[in-house]
Amino acid sequence: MKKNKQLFETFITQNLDSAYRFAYFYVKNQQYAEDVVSQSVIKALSSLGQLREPEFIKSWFYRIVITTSLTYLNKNKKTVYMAPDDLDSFDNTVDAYEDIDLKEAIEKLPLKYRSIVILRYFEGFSLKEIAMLLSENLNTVKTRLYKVLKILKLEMDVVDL
Amino acid sequence: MRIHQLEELKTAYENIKARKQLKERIDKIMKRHSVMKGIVNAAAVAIVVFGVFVGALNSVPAFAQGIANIGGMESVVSILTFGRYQINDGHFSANIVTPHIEGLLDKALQNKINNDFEESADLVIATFEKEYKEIKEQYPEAHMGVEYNYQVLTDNDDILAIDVYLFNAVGSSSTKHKFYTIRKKTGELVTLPSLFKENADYVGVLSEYILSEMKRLNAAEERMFWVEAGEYIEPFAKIKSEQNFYLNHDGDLVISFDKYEVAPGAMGSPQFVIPESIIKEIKR
Repeated sequence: MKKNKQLFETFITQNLDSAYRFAYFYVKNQQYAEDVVSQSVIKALSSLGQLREPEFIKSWFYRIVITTSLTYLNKNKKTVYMAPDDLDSFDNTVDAYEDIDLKEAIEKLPLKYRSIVILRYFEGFSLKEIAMLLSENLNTVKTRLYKVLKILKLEMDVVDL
Repeated sequence: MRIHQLEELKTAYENIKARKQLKERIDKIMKRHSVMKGIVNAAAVAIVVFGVFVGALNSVPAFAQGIANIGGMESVVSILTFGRYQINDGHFSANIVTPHIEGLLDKALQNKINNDFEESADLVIATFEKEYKEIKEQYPEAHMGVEYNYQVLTDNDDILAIDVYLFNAVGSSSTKHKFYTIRKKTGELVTLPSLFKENADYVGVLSEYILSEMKRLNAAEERMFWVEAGEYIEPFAKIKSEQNFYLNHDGDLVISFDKYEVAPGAMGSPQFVIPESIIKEIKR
């Protein structure tokens, strides 16, 4: 327990920037992101006892950041996201995506697809870890990633799955 | 070409940095947490000491009841507030109340409980005062609050049940509870095992029911009890043999969990009323 505390303090000191940018990606606002990180740290401190495997501290903390962000978004519905439903409507408009740049294309994705792109390619989590982080099963995550890559026109044989 | 763009985006993403202000904010949270932790631990020690005593007492139930059953003695069990310690300067607040129990026929038990209340309260006060000065000097703008208090859960002809709790608030909050259930007629302090037949697997029976309730509530009301095995969170498996509990107004058993014990903090301190039908076979 005490060991976890020290471990967590070190982790936060070294990874505050990355925790912040990850929260920022979810809530898209500097102030919100700072609130989310602060609240996540408080939650993490109170539940350090649940961190069983110290080597998973990053996933453990990111999971807290994700749930905190989602709670925060629900509470402050100031940012309008696309309905987090299916990409069905997207499939019809895929052609329109060819010319926009990748950044815009990623930002237009519904949150649950966008988060997979960020977690996989920017944060370097494995698909298994992503499934855990998002509380989804592995196959769902795989299916979503394939779908998203198709839409973003990223060639799968080039992108390391 | 798109892959190239992905690399560029990744670099841009990695260049997002937290402001200095956020770093300072996080430092403060860490610092304040250490302090509150000290206070919580102090109270936890007192509670553990008390727990040991209850264990010892239980091994000689005849002793406890023998005293209580002396004929002609009327028991008027009541709880009152003995001491109160309050500070509130806008940023820091403490409200520490010492409960005091009266009217138990077993005076030794009564004294023991009251001593423990006093010791716990004193310990919380001492820790708060020590840390209060330090934090105030370093972070005059910080907020912290601590409350050690009790509330009456049940008070009828048969039962007095109280909840002695330690609440601390540092941005988010946490609460630790310790319940006491006393049978007024016998003046005995009820323990969880004492409700069941000897050798009855009450832990198993209660745990099975609570787990099924958690699953039902998760599905029906979108609650978030930890019931699924995960690498990071220990799912609920079974209650402790001395799990926090009390008897409610109808005499039903209520099992309680501390905040963060079986669910995220947003769900508070969950409680489960155990239906009579679940335990009638094993009830004493």
